[in-house]
Amino acid sequence: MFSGMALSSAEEMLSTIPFLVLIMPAMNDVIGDMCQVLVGRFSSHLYIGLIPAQLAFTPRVRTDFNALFTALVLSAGTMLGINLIISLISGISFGSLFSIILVVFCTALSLFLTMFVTLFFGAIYIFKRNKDPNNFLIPITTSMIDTLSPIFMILFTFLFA
Amino acid sequence: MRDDGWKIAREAYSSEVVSIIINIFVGLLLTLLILPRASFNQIVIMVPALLSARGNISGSYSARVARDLIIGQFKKNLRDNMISTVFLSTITGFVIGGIALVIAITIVPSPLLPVHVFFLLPILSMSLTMVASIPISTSFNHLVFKRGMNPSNIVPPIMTSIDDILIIFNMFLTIALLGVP
Repeated sequence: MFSGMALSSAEEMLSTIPFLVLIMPAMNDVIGDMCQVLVGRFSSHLYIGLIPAQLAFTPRVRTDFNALFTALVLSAGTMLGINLIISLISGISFGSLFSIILVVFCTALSLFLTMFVTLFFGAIYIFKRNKDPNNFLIPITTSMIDTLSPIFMILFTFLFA
Repeated sequence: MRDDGWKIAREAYSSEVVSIIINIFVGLLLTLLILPRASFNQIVIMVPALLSARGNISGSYSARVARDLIIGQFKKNLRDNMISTVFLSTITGFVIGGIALVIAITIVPSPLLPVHVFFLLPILSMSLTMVASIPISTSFNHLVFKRGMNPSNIVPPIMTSIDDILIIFNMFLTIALLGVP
């Protein structure tokens, strides 16, 4: 509901740049999916001992980060490209192209970095207490992204657009 | 990163493309049907909550059907599973409406929508979505299971995207039915 509150407060911005409303569900979905894959990987790696239960940026953690970061950049580019084509066809305004590219990439990357750090710390903390990180982190991840995504997007639109 | 990392990135990206395409329809529905409305600033308060609630409720339904198919309890549990899902969606809709009303009273300066709209909009949108989603999810789980695959791996990601479209479409339908400006 906090994200709904943020969206409601930014009504004027959303009416001026309706492209933000167009891209928001896809943005939430992409980051949400990446984070679910991340939680699943952290969890299974902790169980089979590929990641030690300590706060260390081991080669395995680095591989996971690089892989999902690459997938995220590719997904954000695809999402932006398809949405731009649709908005050109349907006449949905996106304002300045350069600004909207900055807003989309900054939102996606900063959300991913925030979630990566949170999930890494969270997975190790939960695992150390002999609990399965999947059960706790997946529901929290969904809610966190639903809340943070519109807030980050509005913030970056305010800064760049 | 070369071998293992690149493989992970490729797999994650390929499934993501399908998800992006489905979610673009959700964005399109939101932009074309909900954004131009005069009461957008009040309706939008409920949108993120409705989108995540349908995922949690219908995702759990889908997971329970998959489990029942695997353990051979499908027919026995189906009725209870359906009733509890519709009941849960109604209660959740009521709660979303109540919180949205409080937020709207606090932050929206313009004249508010009638109180009953705040409750009926999420309740009807969610109930209509569940009425459509439950048969689709059940049949899809059944079909996947009959083909010898594990429905838990396939059905939930696709159903959450289908539900995203259904909830926004039903929200628009409810808005039209209630005559919301």
